[in-house]
Amino acid sequence: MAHCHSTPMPSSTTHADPPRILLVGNPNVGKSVLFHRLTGQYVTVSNYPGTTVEVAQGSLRHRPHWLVIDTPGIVTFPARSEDEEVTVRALLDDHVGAVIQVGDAKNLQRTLHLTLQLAELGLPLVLVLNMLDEAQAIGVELNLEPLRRTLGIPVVTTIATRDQGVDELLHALERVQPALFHPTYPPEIEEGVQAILPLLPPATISARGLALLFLSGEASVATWLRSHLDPDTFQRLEYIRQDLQARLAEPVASVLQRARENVIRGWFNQVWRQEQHQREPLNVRLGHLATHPLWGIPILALVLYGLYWFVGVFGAGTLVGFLEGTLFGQIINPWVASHLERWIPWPFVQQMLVGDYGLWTMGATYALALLLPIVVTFFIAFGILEDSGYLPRLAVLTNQFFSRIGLNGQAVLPMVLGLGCVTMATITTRILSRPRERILVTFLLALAIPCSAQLGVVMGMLAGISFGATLIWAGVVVVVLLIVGWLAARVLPGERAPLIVELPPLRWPVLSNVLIKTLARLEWYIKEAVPLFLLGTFLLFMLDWFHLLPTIIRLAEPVVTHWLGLPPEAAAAFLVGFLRRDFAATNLFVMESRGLLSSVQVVVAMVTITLFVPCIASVFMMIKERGLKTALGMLAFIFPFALFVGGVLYRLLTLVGWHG
Amino acid sequence: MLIPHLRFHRARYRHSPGKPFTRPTLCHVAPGQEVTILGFEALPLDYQHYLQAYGVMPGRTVRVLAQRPVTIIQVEHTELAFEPQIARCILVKPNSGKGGPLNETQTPSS
Ligand SMILES: Nc1nc2c(ncn2[C@@H]2O[C@H](COP(=O)(O)OP(=O)(O)OP(=O)(O)O)[C@@H](O)[C@H]2O)c(=O)[nH]1
Ligand SMILES: [Mg+2]
Repeated sequence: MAHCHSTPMPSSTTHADPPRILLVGNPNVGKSVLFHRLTGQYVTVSNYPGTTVEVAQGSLRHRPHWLVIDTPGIVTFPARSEDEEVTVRALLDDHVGAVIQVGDAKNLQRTLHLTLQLAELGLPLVLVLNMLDEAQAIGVELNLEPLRRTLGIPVVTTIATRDQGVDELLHALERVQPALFHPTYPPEIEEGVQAILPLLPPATISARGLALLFLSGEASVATWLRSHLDPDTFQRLEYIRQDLQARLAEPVASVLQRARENVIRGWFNQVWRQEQHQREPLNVRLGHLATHPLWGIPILALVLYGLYWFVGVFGAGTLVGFLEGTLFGQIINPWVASHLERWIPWPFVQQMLVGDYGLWTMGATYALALLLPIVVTFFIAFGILEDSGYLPRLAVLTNQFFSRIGLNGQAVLPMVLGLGCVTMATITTRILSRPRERILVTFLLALAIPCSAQLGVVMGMLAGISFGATLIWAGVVVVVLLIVGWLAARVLPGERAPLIVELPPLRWPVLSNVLIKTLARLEWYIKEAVPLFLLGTFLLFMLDWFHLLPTIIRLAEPVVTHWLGLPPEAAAAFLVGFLRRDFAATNLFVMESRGLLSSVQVVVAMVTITLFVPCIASVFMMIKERGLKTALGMLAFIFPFALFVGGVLYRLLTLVGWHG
Repeated sequence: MLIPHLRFHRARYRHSPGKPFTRPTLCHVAPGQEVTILGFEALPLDYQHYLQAYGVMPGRTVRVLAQRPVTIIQVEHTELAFEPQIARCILVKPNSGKGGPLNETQTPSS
């Protein structure tokens, strides 16, 4: 059976399913900024490859019947990691009406390699060369006419961050069509393609494109074909592929890439002019220093100190002091309490709202006065760091450390993101290229990475005791991370993948981006944390009201008091720790400020709660990303292990007679 | 065997593990040097495709920026960082021309 693939719109597209425009391109080239410009909808933008790991969609400005889709960056076909597979699957979707390829103008050859691959798919295509400002800054001049003529598609230049060229792109979308140019490959490959064509099912992308992707070893395409063909036909495809591979001295994908390289070589000299050798700009030299084996360390120390000062001292100290102590403690809460007592006569409701475990006095106050300032300052500092392009350089610096636990420096990205929010970071594990790494990082995130809210409370409490207390806490957590990571890496089958990472240029953080991103994350935090805080408070209140709390506390005594050496009331904190561990930490914080905890007890409690699973939401995310069985296995280890480490630490600290 | 114009990274040259030094790889090149890529040797496929997509492929010129703590190279206007164990699988030869982004050297297969 032969199919006609010349029409770009699939027959299945009806008016109910608006046609989709896909933004596709290499990682970190500005797809998400452009998505924001085209739809008015914000998705996370950061200066490192792998920011977007899921598709996002929004309707095109002024033309709401078109849907624009932002995809994760893809280096090349075949896809190498889970986020890249998301993009391949988006391309295979039935409703793709057009593709906008976004490329980095200063990396023209790399961009054109992907252009040729996308052109083969037979979808209407527009090429956007973004970051024109950076290309011009290094003296590049582009002559795009030859490209437009040969490819037969619109080619526009943009500076997405300054909204330049976006109107031209909108105009170009009016006359979008499939590319005219397709490279021809060595005879063996062309024969393989011809053999496959008659066997293929109908698809939105061209049969030739599908055949080439399959031959190059694209796993998602193979999966797609398997589900659209009967087993016999699919088996024949597999034979053709194996036969072709056997006849070539090199992998198919490499042969394809080499043929494309020959085409691009010819074009490049016509299109690209660059004035030679200017002085290295400051950001380039600074970037080199940041990964320098010697200078990298003081720079890292400076970055960490800046983070500590802004979040720990300013956020957790100054802001929390003002909000919790003054605003809520002296003004808002007394006012709310006195008014409620006057208006609401029922003690049950009174207690529920403003009692010891009141929804307002505990739940809302913790979330808004204690944690909000910490989270806000952390998100701002973190947004600046993300925008600067420092994080991939951190991957280089920490590679040695991570190699000891069977990972590579790339793992630093989800881990550092975990300091912001473990749930979000768990999705980011998709950028890791092997399942083994994804499992390891998910596990270590759940076990040993405190999220910003909790980190703030922990820092606040421990700083109140002594610097030594902070060191003990951090030391224990890092040692646990190392030992457990080391063991897990040995238990899990497979080998460590060596580091390979793109280092984007250092850029000045864009203020508006940092602010929008902070607001977006804040909204997420509030939607996620506040309901759980209220739920946890309500749970405690009900247990307290019906006098069940003492029973639970008594039942938990062997563990909480005898094993961990904490006062029995701490059981309540651990109970709500199942919902969110920062809520548990906040409970303990309040206990400490009432003088109920000694220094040893604070350190033990903080270590135990840090090793607990972060929150209910993160558990759901673990299940979604890693599957129920793996997630349950991890939890079954983490809970007892957290208690075990806490108990051991308590005995050690008592043994050496540490008092803070 | 004497290779013209190629300055070696001294420590790497001496401590190059395994077999005696036969063919220069990216891991032997001193920072600051420009070299032409000749091919790959014993590199897993996904890494090979990844590097090729960035332009690390036979015939292209790259500049080595650092060898510690990992190898960092510049290809086009992108910096790529990877571990020495990958750099050891990339065969190179010294760059004869002045070296723009594209070098017209033919591509002898390895
Ligand atoms: N100088 C300059 N920077 C830009 C331009 N467009 C985007 N950027 C910056 O490039 C970085 C990456 O932008 P994103 O939109 O997150 O890139 P992306 O293609 O979505 O990246 P991934 O989702 O990781 O694939 C950000 O720091 C942007 O501020 C531009 O035209 N000029
Ligand atoms: Mg993005």
